Amino acid sequence: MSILKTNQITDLGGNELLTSNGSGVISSGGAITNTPAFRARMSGNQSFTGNTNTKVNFNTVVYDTDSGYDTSNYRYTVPTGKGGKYWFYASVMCSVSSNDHRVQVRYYVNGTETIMQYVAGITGKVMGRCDTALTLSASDYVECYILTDSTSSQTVDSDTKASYWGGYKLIGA
Amino acid sequence: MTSIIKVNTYQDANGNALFSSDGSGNVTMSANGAKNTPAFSANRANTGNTLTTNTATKVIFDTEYYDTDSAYDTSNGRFTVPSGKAGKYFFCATVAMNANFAYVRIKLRKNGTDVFRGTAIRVDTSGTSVSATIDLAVGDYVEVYVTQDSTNNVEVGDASHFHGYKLIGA
Repeated sequence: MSILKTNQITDLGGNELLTSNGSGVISSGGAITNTPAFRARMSGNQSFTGNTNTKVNFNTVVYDTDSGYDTSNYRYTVPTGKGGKYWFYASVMCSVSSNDHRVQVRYYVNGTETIMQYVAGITGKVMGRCDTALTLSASDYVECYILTDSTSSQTVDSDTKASYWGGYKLIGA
Repeated sequence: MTSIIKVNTYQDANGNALFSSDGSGNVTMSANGAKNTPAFSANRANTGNTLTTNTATKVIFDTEYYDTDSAYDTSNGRFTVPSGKAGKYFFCATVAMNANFAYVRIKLRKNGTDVFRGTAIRVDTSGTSVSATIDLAVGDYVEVYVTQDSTNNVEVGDASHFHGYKLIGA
């Protein structure tokens, strides 16, 4: 049996890999954290044209550990050295003008639709969701879009309990 | 330049286990803060959780699949943050019920206040879901509530689940 006792492990460049507080609690370690992590919301309602792919304007950051989210273009961009698998979750509440019209929430990676989920709606407010893991490289960017079957003008409701988007990196996946 | 230290067990300076290898490269994390715990998963296995029409009703997931820190209480449907386990948690809940053409809201409540919700129009026994991360302090608790507007009270189905785990370092 071999045991190494130390409170901190760094690489040869002095970069912190793991630190214990002396009581067995690890306080940091870049390779074993679910970071980058972020969540964003909307500061106001967003009008959009029905039956048209529309980027959801999540323009307010709730938290963003590695500054990967850009509130000017509503993109999450993978920071340098942070490629890997990420878990994303989005909830988008919008109005539906007619029964049986679907609400789709889609993720675009580098401008290309990659995955979507949809729900059926009836007249009123309906919530679309999209929960998935995506494999991303550094500098890849992800955007969240909404699409409704209805052709009339629509509105995304900015209620922070109902419309939000977030994600975090999985460890070693 | 490359430097390698070969060792199977890492401890901090006071002898507290951090992580170890079984000698074949399979690592077991032992330290607090290096695992996605507390983590729990539970479902509603039994009948009796009735959702009253137009009334926010707590869903009590009465059977655990796992609960690493005994933080989920199957008697009251609460996940409570244990001592020393504050941080960001990811939660996901799905509630199934048979209520044709009912408008259903599922809510994550923190300390009795709605923080996130999901909605759906129910035409069969499919689930209505919500998922999100929530910042929690020690002693904070999270519950799942559902409101449905069908003309009848309905039962929560057994395809109903509540899961959560702590994110590391987020």
